Amino acid sequence: MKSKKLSILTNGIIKENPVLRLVLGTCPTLAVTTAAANGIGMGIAATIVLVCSNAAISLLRNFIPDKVRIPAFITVIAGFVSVVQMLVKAFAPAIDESLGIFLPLIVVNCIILARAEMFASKNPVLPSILDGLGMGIGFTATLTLMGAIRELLGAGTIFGMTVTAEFIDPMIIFLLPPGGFFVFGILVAASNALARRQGKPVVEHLGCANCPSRSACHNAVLDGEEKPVECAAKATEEPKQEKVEEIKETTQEEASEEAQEKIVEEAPQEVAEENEETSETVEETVVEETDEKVGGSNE
Amino acid sequence: MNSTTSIVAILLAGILTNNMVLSKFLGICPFLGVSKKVNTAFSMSIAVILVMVIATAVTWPIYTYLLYPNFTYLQTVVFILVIAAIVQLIEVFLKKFIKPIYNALGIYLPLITTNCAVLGITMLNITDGLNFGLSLVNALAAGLGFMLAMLLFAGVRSKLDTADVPEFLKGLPITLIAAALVALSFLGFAGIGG
Amino acid sequence: MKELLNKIAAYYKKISDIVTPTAVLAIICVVVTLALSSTNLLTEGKIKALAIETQNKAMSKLIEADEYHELPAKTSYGDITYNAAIKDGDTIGCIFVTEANGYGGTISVMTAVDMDCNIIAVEILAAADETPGLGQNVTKPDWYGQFAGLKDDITVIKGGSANAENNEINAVTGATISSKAVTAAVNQALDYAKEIIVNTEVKGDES
Repeated sequence: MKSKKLSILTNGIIKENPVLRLVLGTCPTLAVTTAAANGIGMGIAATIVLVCSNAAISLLRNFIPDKVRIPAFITVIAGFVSVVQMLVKAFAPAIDESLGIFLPLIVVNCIILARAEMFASKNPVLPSILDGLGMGIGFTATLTLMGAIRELLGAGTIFGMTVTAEFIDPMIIFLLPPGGFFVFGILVAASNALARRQGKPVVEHLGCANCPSRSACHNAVLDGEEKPVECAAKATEEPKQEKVEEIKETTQEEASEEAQEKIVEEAPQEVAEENEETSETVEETVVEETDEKVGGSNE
Repeated sequence: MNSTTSIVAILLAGILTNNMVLSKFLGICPFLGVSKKVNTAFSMSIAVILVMVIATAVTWPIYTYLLYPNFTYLQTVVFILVIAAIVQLIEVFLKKFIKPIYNALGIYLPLITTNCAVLGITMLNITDGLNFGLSLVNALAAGLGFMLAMLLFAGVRSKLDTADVPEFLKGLPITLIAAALVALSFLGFAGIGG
Repeated sequence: MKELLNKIAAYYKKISDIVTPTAVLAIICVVVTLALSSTNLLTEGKIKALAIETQNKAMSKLIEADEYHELPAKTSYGDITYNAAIKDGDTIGCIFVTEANGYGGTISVMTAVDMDCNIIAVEILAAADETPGLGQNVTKPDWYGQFAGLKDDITVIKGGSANAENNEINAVTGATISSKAVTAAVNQALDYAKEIIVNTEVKGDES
């Protein structure tokens, strides 16, 4: 049991590093990593929001109706972001200055909504907190590493301390946008090379498989519509269905089939208890069917 | 006269010098995710422009007349909820009344709620202290800049498919490096708007 | 009977489908708003004090004075506010914050002038959008120190041959636009100073 909890924590740091493996939160990753210190500041701010929102959403997971799930999550996340923003402004104004608009933009940081959607809304509080912490640490570590690389190459310093600036002319381009894309590309290549050596799938494309709003396009917004063509076509990597008991990787069709079966099997007990909790990929029709069944069994 | 020059300056800055994607790093997700084909990139950009302008038209008055000066701390929450609601409403509206446009853009709309470029531009309009008209121009310019970056990058990526890429760079890494080169070319525009 | 019950159940479900989500969302919004306003109560004072403190710190770096009075002023360029630096009961200088468009965005500059409209010192408050390593070099004291002692219509010279007597300053290498922006902001401050200081002298010293 303990090792399971530990694995939830380390999952986000290495195996599913949000930046390099899941490719989430690319905007702040590229924008604020002009210095190592900025990376840490952004990372910590996002980690706090991630842990708090995961905890809150996990607590509320049985109360939030499926239909307003996304707006409810966004509101909760935005609340925490604003709190962090005010605290940072009051107690660490230097960080506020260096992160600028990217501090409030943590709201739309895909990592946070993705973890709310994929993990916290399906798991108890403690694992959700650990997941948030692990993902946050992974995010912070990657941002700091990238910040350090760009700062070293672009300014010859690390954390503001002069390292190579005196004998190698700093290459300013690394501090500019192109340098951000370039360093990020090389880091992903390195992480891919490691993954390949361990026989794991490499990150091919940033597509809808990694997109947190993927589920949003299926359920919340495109209710009953056909799946977005782009998403379906892009789902090169297998979408993940996460449960604490079993972390499985299945293709989308399999996942939804499985979920359907599960719901139908467990319908009498589970759905009666928790009417709102339905699996992410279940189609609208299936939900209605099961609801009818419940009505019947109640009778 | 003065307003004309500032409109031109804002357009130039938004499209070229301060390009949303390539110099401000806003909206990277759709930039990397939906830029594989030129026509999907185009549809996505149109949807983004639409939402950006409408979102600005709604959030600016809300901030100026309701939130300022006592409730500015609610900005983030209010803006993101307003944007989410607007996206939903646009979708419902298009679905009901302008079916052809809905068919073309519908699938991109849900992706836009979490597009930081939209929330970003509504907030930047407030921070930059632009008036209502200029805010709309700024949103339009940012959207057009997004479109330019998307189209250029989609063009680059379509060439990438047939290119001989080193094994370890295949996939996302080479896409990012290509983005770096497109961003590099945009550095050449810097200073025009000044 | 079964059908009727089912119908009632379906109807009930329809209503609760609309009411429940709305209610839950509304409750969440209210709770979040309450949490935010209480956080705001806690941090508001601190944030304001911090802003004043940083401004005072920046001002005291430019002119040492006992206190700084924020004053409104009408100029031919529009209404502005500035700070008068007061020492031993006398106004010894004025401090203006002005802005100009640089390479990537707005550069904000604080300029202190003495009562003869000579620049005492300037400080770059914000130039975050300038290119790191090039335009950002305007924030280095070595560079903006050049402004001290200059008087009016400052011009930027490329190539490093500026003569302070002609009110010239050297551009930052590779960043003429940023240098010009800072200079434009400083010139603006000088324009304000000339009008305000002359006017208050005519009116007689109220302080």
